[in-house]
Amino acid sequence: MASPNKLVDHLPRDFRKVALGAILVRMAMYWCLPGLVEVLQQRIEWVTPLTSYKRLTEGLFLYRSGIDPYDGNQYFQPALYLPLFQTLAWFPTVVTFAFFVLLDVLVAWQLYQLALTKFGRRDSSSFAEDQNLKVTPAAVAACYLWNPLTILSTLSQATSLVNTLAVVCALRHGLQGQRSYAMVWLAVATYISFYPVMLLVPLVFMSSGNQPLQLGNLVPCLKVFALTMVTLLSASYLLTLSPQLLSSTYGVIFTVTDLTPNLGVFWYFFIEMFDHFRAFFLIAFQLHTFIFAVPISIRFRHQPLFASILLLGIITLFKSYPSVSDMVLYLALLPLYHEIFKYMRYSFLLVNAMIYALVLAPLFWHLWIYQGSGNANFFYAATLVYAAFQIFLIIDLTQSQLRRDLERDCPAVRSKILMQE
Amino acid sequence: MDNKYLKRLRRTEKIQTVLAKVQQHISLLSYILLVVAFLWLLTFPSIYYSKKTYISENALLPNQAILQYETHQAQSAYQHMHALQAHQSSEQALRYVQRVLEETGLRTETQSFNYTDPLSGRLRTGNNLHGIMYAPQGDTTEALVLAAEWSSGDGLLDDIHQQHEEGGIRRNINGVAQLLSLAQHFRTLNHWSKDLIFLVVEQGQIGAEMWLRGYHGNDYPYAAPIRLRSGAIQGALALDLPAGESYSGLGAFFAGKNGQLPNLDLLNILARITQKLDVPWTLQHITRRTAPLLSAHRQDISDTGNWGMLWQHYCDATRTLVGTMSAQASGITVGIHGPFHRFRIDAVTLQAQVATAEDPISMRFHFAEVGKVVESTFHSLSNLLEHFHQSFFFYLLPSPWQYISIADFSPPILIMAAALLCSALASWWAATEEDSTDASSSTEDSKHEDSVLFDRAEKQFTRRITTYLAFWSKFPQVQRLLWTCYGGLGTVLYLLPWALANWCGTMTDSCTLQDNASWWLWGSVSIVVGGLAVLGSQCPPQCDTRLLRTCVLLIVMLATTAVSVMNFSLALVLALLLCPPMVFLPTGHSASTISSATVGGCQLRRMVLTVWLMIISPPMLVYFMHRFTALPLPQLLGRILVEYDLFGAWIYPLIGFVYWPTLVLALIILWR
Repeated sequence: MASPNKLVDHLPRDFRKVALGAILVRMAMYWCLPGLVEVLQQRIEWVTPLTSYKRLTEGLFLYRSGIDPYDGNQYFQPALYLPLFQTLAWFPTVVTFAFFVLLDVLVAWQLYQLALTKFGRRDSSSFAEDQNLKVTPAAVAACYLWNPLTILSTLSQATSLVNTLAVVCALRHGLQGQRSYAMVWLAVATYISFYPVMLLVPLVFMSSGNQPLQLGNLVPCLKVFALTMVTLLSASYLLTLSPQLLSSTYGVIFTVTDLTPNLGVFWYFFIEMFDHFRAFFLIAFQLHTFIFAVPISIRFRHQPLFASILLLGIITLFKSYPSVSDMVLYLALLPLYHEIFKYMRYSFLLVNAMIYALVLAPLFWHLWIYQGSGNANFFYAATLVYAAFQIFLIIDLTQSQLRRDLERDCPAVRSKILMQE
Repeated sequence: MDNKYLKRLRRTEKIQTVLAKVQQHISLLSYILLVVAFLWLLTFPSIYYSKKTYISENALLPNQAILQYETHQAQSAYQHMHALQAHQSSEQALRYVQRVLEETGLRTETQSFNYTDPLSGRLRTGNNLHGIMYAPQGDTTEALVLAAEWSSGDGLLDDIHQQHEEGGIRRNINGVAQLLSLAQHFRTLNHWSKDLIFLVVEQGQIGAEMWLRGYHGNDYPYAAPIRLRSGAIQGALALDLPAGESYSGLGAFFAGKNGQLPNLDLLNILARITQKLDVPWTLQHITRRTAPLLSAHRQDISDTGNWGMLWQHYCDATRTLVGTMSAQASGITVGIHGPFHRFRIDAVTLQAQVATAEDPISMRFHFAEVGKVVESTFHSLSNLLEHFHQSFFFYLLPSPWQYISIADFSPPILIMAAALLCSALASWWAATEEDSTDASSSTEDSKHEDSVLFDRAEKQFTRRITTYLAFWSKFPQVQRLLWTCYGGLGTVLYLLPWALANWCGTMTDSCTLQDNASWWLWGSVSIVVGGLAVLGSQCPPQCDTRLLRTCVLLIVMLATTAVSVMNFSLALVLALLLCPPMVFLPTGHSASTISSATVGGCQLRRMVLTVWLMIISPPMLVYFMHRFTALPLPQLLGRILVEYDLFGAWIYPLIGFVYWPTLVLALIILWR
């Protein structure tokens, strides 16, 4: 084991600069603005019932008292969080926050590695103009660490950060061709929030060097994935011995039993729903989310990293308990594909829609919950703006990538296609 | 090349020419939208634009109960009035009120509070007293409040100022006396289904806020908690009866803090009750010279003599709208109902107008009629089955009998936002489409039409790439400027008064409000001027003002629309002040295209806009407000700060973080 000092020395200088500043900003905000932290921990835009740190402390308390943590219908997070955060709880609370900051930096480091791999492997048929805009791996890390949304997300101490780290690690190892690492990390992400299972096929493509999908590639991957999942789940069961282990985690994700409003599309619909239609629409909604994995994995089989980004966008949009922290992960991966930005047609609209959604959501929430002059429809309208922004972003990214592929593969049609806009 | 494809190319070409036309004339479009918005606003006071009010909550049943507050009961109010006049000190008066309430059989509690004025650092102390009458037929889960403060009129005014104006503090002895007699009267009635809380507060709105915080259990360092409580408060009336032999009118003051309004149903039942009881009813004492409903005139416009009537209505409605909307925008209004709205309690202050010699005897009234109005209103409120809801919180009132709903009053502000968007797009396109002129010059080569089209498409593509790269080369500087201005300058402006108060507290003991106010005013002006000078000189020459202008306009648009959902009046003021100069701001230019030829024509425009921006700068606005409201400047500034510090109104941070930095950036764009 290398000593910490040596480890820091190994980090590239540009990354160190970015990370150090980010750590300082986060710690300073934590010390100077305790009110902001407290508010953020309860904002439904940042924190969902599945990622709330407050609910985690509730689960911890039950766990420590020897009661099933899933009793009381408050704690819906994976059981393995409990020993982890219990260890942290021995120290002052700032240590827990420092742990979140550390996770953030680790995510940034994985992004750095991801960018290094991706930019190093530039395909020969790239256009000359791709090279003009210099995006360094450190810039990609900075885009994540210095994004104001990321900073607020860290301050809210949403436990989705662990999920973010797992996904980014899986992508990095996948891109570097380390198949079993990628599968282990994917299994961890799946264990935490289940939706990342959609990334399975793109990751298999990625880690096997873009070879066509064969049983020979798929089976070992699935083996590792299944083995890790089984290990994690059985460890969870041994830890809690809770019969509600599955129903309180995946059950809540799938059947949306906690209807706390969030930025997603589920809560409003299922508040209004008659009970006898509930099962049908649940299946329809969830199937609708997962079905996207198939066409995207097929269409972008030669760019599995891009397929993963799109799927993360779909997850952010359609998962049952989305929050801004999901969007942060998705936005952090976009600079990896900066070469398609110039094909994007709605960038002006997209930036504005995002800002409006993020400003209107707390305003309408205030009108509804505190002031009482508005109602649920107000906030739902804001979530629709948010969803529209996500949809436009996904559509725009997809068409940009397809356009770029076409132009690269058949330069002759380049101008013809251009005219069709 | 097949024919079908060429056809498609031609069609897209056509679409693009149309698009180009739109791009060319987008500034004109923004001017037109601005004019449309202004004209639309002018239709608001028209009788044809607003709808008749109606009572949406059927349970309220106004005017259904037989009223029992008669002259006999009013006699007790006179007795209390005389007794209170005899007690000179506020301590004695408070004891008297407490004794009367307890003799009536109510449990009472006194709450003391102190609040440090943020600007002067002065301590304001006071005592609130309330008594609770538990409902004979209820389960004490809901309550109604009848409140009065000791001083009449504007409770937040500084005492010195009031003495200066009136030759002594205007006391609301009549209001407290009326409250006591009503408490005694309500005690004899046995059909209340909600608890009745009788509240007497000191220090006006500050006292009311402290009482509400204590009642709702907010642990707040200034206010002591209240132990004697009832259930959730459903509605509140505040009485403000200035000293006088008789009254000639009852005015409703209803605008709350940060643009909150009470449910329209509360105002509707009051309008109906006062009409039945023949009590002249106004909004904020703005008199009306036309019949309340004007139904006949509405149907028959061609009637001769009708036009004069309509014009009169239009003028009255304009005055009412301006009065009520400026109260909503600023939060500066008479009465102690304001803080109640923040706790989801619908409240109104009823202020009586003292009759003068000109008022006819038949129109005059005193305790008996006011008592009847309150009794009838409380009957209706007691009927409420659930909290006021009915989506009746967004309205504008051109008269007590007409309202403009949200669907009708929001279009002008949305149109203004659209004007800003068009204007922003104009400079966005100007900034991103650099060399589009040479593309059109090559069209004369008509013999190979398709190849020309392809050439153009190719050019378009390369242009897109160059503009994309150009954008990324220009944007960081613009972004830095925006952060410094909105973030840095905004924070400094925002924190200045607190820093001043802090500094004053440590340096000297004898800091007056006047000193601090002038320090604040001159300090912020010099900070802004300094910031302008620094930013103007430090602004790198290659900074693209067109991009900067786009961002600033979008920020103004965001601020206006976001504020409009919370406080429409404030958003309208913001839009009216900022939109025209922002839209008329020249589209800007890149550093390379500054030519001396165009400067001559622009100079006049620049001068006019600069003067315009100076006129709408916050110090000038404060001065205008001072002239308009006749409040002394220090009090006005202190008031704006209290509104934010205690009541959470947005007007102060809005000025610091958005309004002033926007003006600074506009000047930079203008003179760059």
